[in-house]
Formats: sequence, C-alpha cells, structure tokens
Amino acid sequence: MRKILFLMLLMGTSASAQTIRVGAKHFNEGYILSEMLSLLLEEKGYTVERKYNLGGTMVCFEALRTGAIDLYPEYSGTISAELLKDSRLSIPTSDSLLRKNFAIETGALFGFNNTYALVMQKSVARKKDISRISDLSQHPELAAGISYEFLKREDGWDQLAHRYELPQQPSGLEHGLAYQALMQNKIDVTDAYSTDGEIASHDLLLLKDDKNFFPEYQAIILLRSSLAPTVKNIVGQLEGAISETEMQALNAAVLYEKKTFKEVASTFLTQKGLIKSAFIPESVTQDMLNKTGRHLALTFVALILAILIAIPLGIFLFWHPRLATGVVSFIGLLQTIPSIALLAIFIPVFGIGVIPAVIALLLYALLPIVRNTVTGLSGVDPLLKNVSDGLGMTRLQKLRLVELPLALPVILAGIRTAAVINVGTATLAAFIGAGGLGEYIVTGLALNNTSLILRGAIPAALLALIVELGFTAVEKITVPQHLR
Amino acid sequence: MQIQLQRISHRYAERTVLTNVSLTFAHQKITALIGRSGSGKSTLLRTVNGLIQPTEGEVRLQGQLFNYSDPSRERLKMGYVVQGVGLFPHLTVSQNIAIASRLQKQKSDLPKRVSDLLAQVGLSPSYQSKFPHELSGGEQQRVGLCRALFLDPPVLLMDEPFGALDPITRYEIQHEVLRLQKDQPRTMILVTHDMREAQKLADDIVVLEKGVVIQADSKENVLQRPTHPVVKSLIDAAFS
Repeated sequence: MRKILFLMLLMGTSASAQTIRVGAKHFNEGYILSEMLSLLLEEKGYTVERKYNLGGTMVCFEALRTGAIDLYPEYSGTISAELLKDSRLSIPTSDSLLRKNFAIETGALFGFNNTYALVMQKSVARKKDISRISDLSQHPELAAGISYEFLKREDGWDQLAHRYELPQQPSGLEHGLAYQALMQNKIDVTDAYSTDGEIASHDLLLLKDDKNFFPEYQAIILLRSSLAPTVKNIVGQLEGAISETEMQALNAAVLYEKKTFKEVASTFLTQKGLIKSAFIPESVTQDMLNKTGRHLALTFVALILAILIAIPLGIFLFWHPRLATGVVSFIGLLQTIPSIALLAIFIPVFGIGVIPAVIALLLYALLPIVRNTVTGLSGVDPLLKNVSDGLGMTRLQKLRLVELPLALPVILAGIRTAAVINVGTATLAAFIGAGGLGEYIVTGLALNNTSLILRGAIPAALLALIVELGFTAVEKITVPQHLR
Repeated sequence: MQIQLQRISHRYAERTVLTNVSLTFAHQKITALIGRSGSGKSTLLRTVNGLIQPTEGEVRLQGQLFNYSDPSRERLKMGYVVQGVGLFPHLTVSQNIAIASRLQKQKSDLPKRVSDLLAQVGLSPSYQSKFPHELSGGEQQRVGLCRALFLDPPVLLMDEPFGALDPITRYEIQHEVLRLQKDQPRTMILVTHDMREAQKLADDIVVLEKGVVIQADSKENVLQRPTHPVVKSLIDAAFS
C-alpha cells in the first residue's frame, strides 16, 4: 500500500530542484504563452512539467498558491478583479499584495493587452455606420450574442450596457460558437478578446471603446516568489516580446493553420532569437503511449486502492447487516455527484494533480465493489454456511474457505464494473492536471479541434473495451465452469 | 463419548420448539431421534453441537458443560452430516473430505487418510480429484460421510442424511454406516422420520412430538411397547 502510494507520488511529481512546473489557462492563447515559457526553460536545461489543462482562473491560482505549479501566464485585469477583488488596482499594487498575502509575484509583461471588446462584421457596421460602442445605443434592432462568461462577470455586460446605455437584450452563448453565429448573421454583435485569431481571419471590426470602459488585460507572468532568480530571469526575456497583432497571428496559426501550439511557440521564439533549436515535431505515437500509460496508471492505482478498501468494508457490512443498507446508500450517494463537481470540491482540499484524481476515481470505484461483495457473500447457499458451522469453522475460516471463494464471481464482476467506470472517468482527470488521455479531449475542446478530441476519445473507448474483455478473461480463468 | 441434555427448552420469539427435554445419549450407541415434521428433532440435534444455544438447560459432553465461547473447538469432536450433503462446490472430493485439516494446526498423512475413508464407503481413489457436481446423490452423501469422519470424531450427528436418496442407494449406505459402527464404534445421533430406518440402525429410540419427549427407550421397548398414540402411529405408518 505504502509502496503504491510512493510510486504514485513519483509518477505525479517527479520533483527535483531542476524541475519547473508550468501551468496554463486552458484556452488557445494560454497554451501558446505557457509553451513559450516551457521552451525557454528547457532551452536552459531545466526539466519542465507541463500542467496545461487547469480549468479556470481559480484552479490555476489555487495550483500556484499550493505549489502544484510554479508559474503561469495571467492577465492584469483578472489579477486585480478576480484574484484580489478590486478592479482598480494597478499592476505594482497587485504585485505587492500578491507578495504579501500569497508569496506570489508578477513577472514579465508579454507586451500585449488582451481585453474584452465588442466585434461586428465590417459589412453590417458600414451599413449602419457604426464604429464605436456608443453607436450601438442608436440601434436597438441589432442582436447581441454574449458569452456566458462575459454575461456573469461583475465587470461584464451589465456594467457595459449601463455605461453606454445599450438597449440590446443579449442572448447567452458559448464563446467558441459566437464567431460562427456572427458570420451566419444569427447575431450582429458579440464580445471577443482583442487578440482572438478570428478577428484577423474573419476580417471583423473591433468597436472602439470610446468611454474607456474595459479594464486593461495585460498578459503577465504570475510566479511563486520562491523561484530561483535564474528562472525568473529566463522567463523575464519575454518582457515586451509580443504585440497585439503578433498575438492575433499566433492564435490564428493554431486555430486556422492547424499547427500545434508547440510548433507556433517554438517558431516565434526562434524568429525572435530567444531559442536556437528549431522545432522538432513530437512523435504522436510516443505521446499517445505516454498518455495511455498515465491513464492506465491512474485507473489501476485507484482500482487497487478501492479493492483494498471495498472488500474489507463489504465483509464488515456482511457481518453487520444492519449497517449495510445505510452505508451502501451513502456510497451510492457519492456516486451521484458529477465527477467534474467532485474534482472541483477536491481542489481546495487536495490541490491539483494525480492525488485528487486518484481519490476521486477511488470513490467512484467503491460502490460496485462494496455492493457486490455484500451481495456475493450473502448469496452463498445457507446449507453450506450451516455445514461450515457444523464442521467447526470459525467465522474467519468460514469466510476464507467457503464464503469468499464462492462469492468470488460476483465480487469480480463488481471489480470489472469499477474498472470500466474508472477508465471512462479518468478522462476527466485532465481537468485538474493529472494527465492521461483526457488531455487530448480537454485541449481539443478548448481549441475546437475535433481530431485532437478523437485522439483522446477513441483510445479511451478502446481501453474501456479492453479492460472489460480482460476482466472477462480473468473471470474465465479463475472461476471454474460449474461455479458460473 | 456420552452426551447429556438437561432440562432443555428453546423458544424462537413466541414459539416454543423444545420443552424441558432431558436425555442421555449413550456412549458408542446409535440413537434415533424420530418424530413428525416440526416435532423439534432437528432443533434438538443442533443444540448438541451448539448451532443452537437453548434458551434454558444444559448440554454436557462427557460430563463437561458445552463451551459456547469456543463452539468451533467442541464441533471438531463431532462429525455432522445433513440432508442435501452440502459439499463445497469449489473444492474437489479430496479437499472436501480433508477440509477439517485446514481448521486446526496438527498435520496428518492427508492422502492416505482420504483414500482410506473413500475405501470405507466403497468409493475408488479416482474420486479424489472429482468435483461434487460430477457425483451422483449417493456418491455425494458417501463423500459427506467421509468429511464428517475425517478427524475420527467420537460423535457423529446425522440430520436425515438419507432422506433424498433412492431406496437402493439408501439401503447400501445404511449398511455402510452399520459396518462403520461395528469397526469403529461412536456415539451417533440420527434424526429421521422413518421408523424403519430407526429400527434398522438404532440401538435406542427417542420420539419427539411438539417439542416434548414422549418416549425414550431401547429400540425393542419402543417398537414393542409404544406408550403414546403418536409412537404407535409412527410404527403403524412404517410397517403396515
């Protein structure tokens, strides 16, 4: 047990002085910026652990605060409004507050401002003679489709509409779908980020923020104060390195030229003379094997731990049937918590990475094993239990020699169910940086890249099938025909 | 080993199944416990090996009170054979017979003991590696008998062991039991509802009705001088 935990820790955080963990917000630009940090560090001989699929702002910051990651790119407006809850803070003030309260500091400014903006098709804007946000107040007939995130932000739509006296009643939609809706004329105006690749590729008009409503969202590195000065200097080379148009082009290169963000980041850094080595495409097969290996490791470590807990618990409940109904219902209740919610609940307690993922998977694996253990043991022929007692077996001898062997097929079926559930659920572990095949799915969703999603989804489905067949084979071998 | 029951009464919730039963099962004799269904005969047998701890009364083995804090130890002295046999389906014949060897530390010459026992009940050594589902009902009951005798216990308890067998097989096994008793006498208690079986096997007969002993005597006395109408009707039913 201790050995397994130890191996698990090794796997999760092969921590050495030279290893730097780079986080990323999981959207296109976040990946590109983080990859630049990683490549720069690797150029100088550091080992980099990439933890790129960290849900939203709070997950990233929590990971940074607890030391699960060492640095990640953030935006000045997000730091002040969301992390420090005061949107008026300047960058230097934010920096000193972060240092004082969290031992975290701001590093290099990348050089561009990725703020919110409203965009329209140029043709529509010309027809209605619109170039500024204040012009929208004269056109209540224009349909505004606004991303859910911007709708619910404190400094989002409500404040904007109030400041500019906008008459539009916005409909909410996913940011990923907004450009499509805009191009198909289903909506006329949407919110965007000023560095979105789509602005360049669809040739859209960025409406002028003539009342200076939107705060600054300067891209900036957030890092742990305890990092070595050499590390801070290395990533400091990115100070002022990327302009707004350059960032739009980088984003478009990933989204429309279907280059990997690693390739885009590497090419850019080489052009800027920040790294020497040219981009070497990664072997997809090797990467898939690594992720599959991690996926299986997560699944089976959790499964083994679950077996070690669930079978003794099942035996205990079999001996104390009055407790059984209650406990089994409680474990069943755990099962109904959506996995994403469970992972979210775990972040403040266990942080991010392998450990919370394994704990969550373990909890999901408990129910089928506990339930089948109790059912299997209770289902043993009463005549055999009576004979066992009559022969002079103690309770433990009866369990070991008669009840467990006869309940084995039912218990194995429970373990099989748990394993298949785990293979599926483990894809979600990527959301908290535990790796596995889910990484492809999460990244693919963030980049709206179907082939990347399938690269994770198909092997995960195949794995589930293989696990199912594997366990069926194990049952065939261990359970003789006449006991099935 | 002599077995004494003293003023045994047993109740399940509101229902009384045994009332003030006092009996002595004689050393190395076969006693038949006979009665109709629901007369309490199986319950009485199960008080002997402690599967049931009676609400009142005492069980004494060779004068010693039954030790309910370690019943397994007491039961190892008593072979137990039941209707339906209850062979463990996941174990071979040989493992079934020798199961008791796994319950205690002392090691003996297992293979020899197993084949000796099989020979005593008329089964060839080739049966050792078979599984219970491969055996006929009679063969299963013979193996069940071997399992009960494995530790060579001084007491053998049998709960309607031949009830489910065809007449020929029953006849054969009854004879094997008698031969065994002649070679290695034990204190045997046989629960049955068949007076003919009692007549064939038993030295003494105890007749139960509604949890009460209505006659307990030597076989001859019970058969020739029934003291209760129920005893008489049991005899009539068997021999008419």
